[in-house]
Amino acid sequence: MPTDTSIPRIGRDLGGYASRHRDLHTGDPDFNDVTCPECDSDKLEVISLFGGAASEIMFRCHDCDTSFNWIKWRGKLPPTPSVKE
Amino acid sequence: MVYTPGVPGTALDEQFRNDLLAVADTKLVLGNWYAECVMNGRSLPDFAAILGMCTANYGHTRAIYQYLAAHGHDYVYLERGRGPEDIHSSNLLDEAPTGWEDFIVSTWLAELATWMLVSGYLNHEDRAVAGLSKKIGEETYFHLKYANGWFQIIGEGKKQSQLFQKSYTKRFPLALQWFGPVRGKDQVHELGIRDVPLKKLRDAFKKEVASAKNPLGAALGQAKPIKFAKDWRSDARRLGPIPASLFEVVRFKDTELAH
Repeated sequence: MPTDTSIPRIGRDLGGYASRHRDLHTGDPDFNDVTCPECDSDKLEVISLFGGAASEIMFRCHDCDTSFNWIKWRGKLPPTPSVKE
Repeated sequence: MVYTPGVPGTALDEQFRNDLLAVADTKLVLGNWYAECVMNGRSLPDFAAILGMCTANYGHTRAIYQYLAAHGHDYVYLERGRGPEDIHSSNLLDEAPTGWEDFIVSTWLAELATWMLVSGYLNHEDRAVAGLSKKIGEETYFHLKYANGWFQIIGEGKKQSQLFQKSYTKRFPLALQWFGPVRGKDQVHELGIRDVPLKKLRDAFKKEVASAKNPLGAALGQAKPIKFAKDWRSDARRLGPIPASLFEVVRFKDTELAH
């Protein structure tokens, strides 16, 4: 398992909008229950809000570097007068 | 046959049909916006997001057309037989985006406005309508989250913020107009087909739009009262036909290929 964070990891861009989005969406409470399917870690970052399909979010695990897709819908709806929070 | 919720073949209430078609057609145009603009994305995650939102909106359109077809409408006509005057999309999306900020503002307003109207059917008697409304909401939730991320990035740049505000000033009244006159009739609600009055949905839309000031870091201006021209088409929720240039983008290009 790679632990030396000074070693650049494959596929990691060093700046730009993609990084900014990753920072913005990582730690979103909507994803609190997501864990890595390989090592069960919850140290994750959101690579993309839309993954290989519109229904998936792409995550990367900080502990084992696994990238994985997570099915996003958990019944959450945007605010509306019809929905009781 | 008189409309009976959950019974295919029964004719829908006309105003209810109009509501559904306005949502479906606005989403058709929105899907085309995403398809046309995807290569203007700022990064690969943008490409994935825009294409994802594109397919989701096409899917919503298709599902609503199919529902209408189950209630006596001609699917082929709905999908590829209509002219520019028959497509009931919001005036909000008539004019192509002038830049990235305009694209974000316009698509966000279109996603939010269509959701608000659809959400009025979450408790619809027909499970097909209620289920479709819920599914649209679940997907729109993440479309709005994507927009929200961009608000924060745009809010960090002075020039980008100015462009956003300029676009918002132009687009927001068009989005609000889609809900119709404040004192207009709301037959769908009066008949109990939609359990939330349009006024309440319009107010919720305005409130939700105003909440964008948090990620943006700046308040958004208030819209001036909208004057509805005499040629306002309440059935289509728009003024006039869609522009010829837009019709050229959204029209079905080759009906032979569809068979």
